[in-house]
Amino acid sequence: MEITQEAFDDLLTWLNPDRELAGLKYENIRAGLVRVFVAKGFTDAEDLADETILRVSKRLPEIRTTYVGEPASYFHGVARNLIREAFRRKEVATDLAPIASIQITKRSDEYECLMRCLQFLPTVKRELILDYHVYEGHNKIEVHRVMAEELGISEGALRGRAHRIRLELEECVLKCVQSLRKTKPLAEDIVNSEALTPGMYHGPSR
Amino acid sequence: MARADKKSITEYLLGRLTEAEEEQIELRLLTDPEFAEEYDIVVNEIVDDYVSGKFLGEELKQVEEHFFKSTERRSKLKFAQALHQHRNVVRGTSPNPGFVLRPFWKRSPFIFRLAAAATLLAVITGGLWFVLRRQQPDADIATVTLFAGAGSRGDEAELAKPVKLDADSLRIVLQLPATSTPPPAANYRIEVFSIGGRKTTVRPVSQDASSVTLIITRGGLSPGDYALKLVAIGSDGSEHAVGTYFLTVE
Repeated sequence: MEITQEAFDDLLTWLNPDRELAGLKYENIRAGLVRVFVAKGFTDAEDLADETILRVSKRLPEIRTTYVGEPASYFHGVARNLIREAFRRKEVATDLAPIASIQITKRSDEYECLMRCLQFLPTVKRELILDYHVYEGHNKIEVHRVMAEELGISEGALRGRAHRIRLELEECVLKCVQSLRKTKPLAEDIVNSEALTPGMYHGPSR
Repeated sequence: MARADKKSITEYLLGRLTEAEEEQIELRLLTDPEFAEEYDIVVNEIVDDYVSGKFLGEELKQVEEHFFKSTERRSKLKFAQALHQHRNVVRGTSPNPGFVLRPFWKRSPFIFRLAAAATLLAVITGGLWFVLRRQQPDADIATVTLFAGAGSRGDEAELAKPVKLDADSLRIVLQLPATSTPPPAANYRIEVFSIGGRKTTVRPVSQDASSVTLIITRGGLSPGDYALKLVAIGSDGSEHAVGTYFLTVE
């Protein structure tokens, strides 16, 4: 069941009378809920976040005049109840393959998609993300320090910038792998895929 | 973002907090976008540390049993492994990655950069002259025959043919797939993708009903992995991807 437009409008008004601020708040709450459900091991985190929002919107007529406090806390409370219910029903995936069995080779879809997606990144971003990840341990710390110095930003800002590029790249690889497995299952097809065009992966990442 | 935040996020992600402490973290995830971004960064750092083998003993168990419980995190793991794999390739083929060079270049005085650029230009000009001189009929050309990767996913040796490049040039014969029936092609072009994401387009030097041949000089191929995408160009200008060939230059 989906939330109606009227109920959604009411929900936004409850979050903030300013529609724009309410929208931002809503996005933060929904993204936060997804993070919480993922952290708890749910595979359908997006659906559960929507279910939480739906439940809140249904109760809104009763609570909007009596509830005191940050609306996000109410969403959180509903989410915790959902988690408890799901645990009672044992809905958390338990039949996943052992994590140690996941191994990527140079011929895997993920690797090929990474190669492909790196080409879609502007040079500056590509160099930054590759440089950022090229070393480990003490070398990594030193390289990050020098990189930040060269860019004239703090190491924290560099960390954030590298993270945002990584999100963009990860999103691209994810879509590429999905497209590859849906349409053409062979290794060569990613290079041949016409579905991947520049500019396709610049949407916001969660 | 405070160091304490990073620590508490890590504890949360590894399932080490009490319910009350968890609730505090979760509430911030719903209300504080900066904290949420820090959370995402820590998630990726844990994934990277796992791929690098930094977790041991009880901590490793917590990561494997708690952190990687969701399919989304497993998807992140695959991405991080691919990135890690790429890093190994970069480090394995180039002892001086680009990063080491760029800061040095930027830090150098302008006059030095000018002199270095002039020297580089002289070296490139000399190199070109040398290559052109060597591309005479008696030039040393090695030959490698490649087959399209289609259908041989499980056979890595078949997919990425290793070539030791000690000749001046490499003649690459791309065998057209026997099982498919590509439309008649007036011409072909080959898109060469290097592992660093660079793409160059090469025209074949010859073609027949069963193969397409191209020649790449040694200067155009540094050690590393390459994917060669063969595109057929019909007489009406239409293009058709014939197949992809994999090559490892040692």
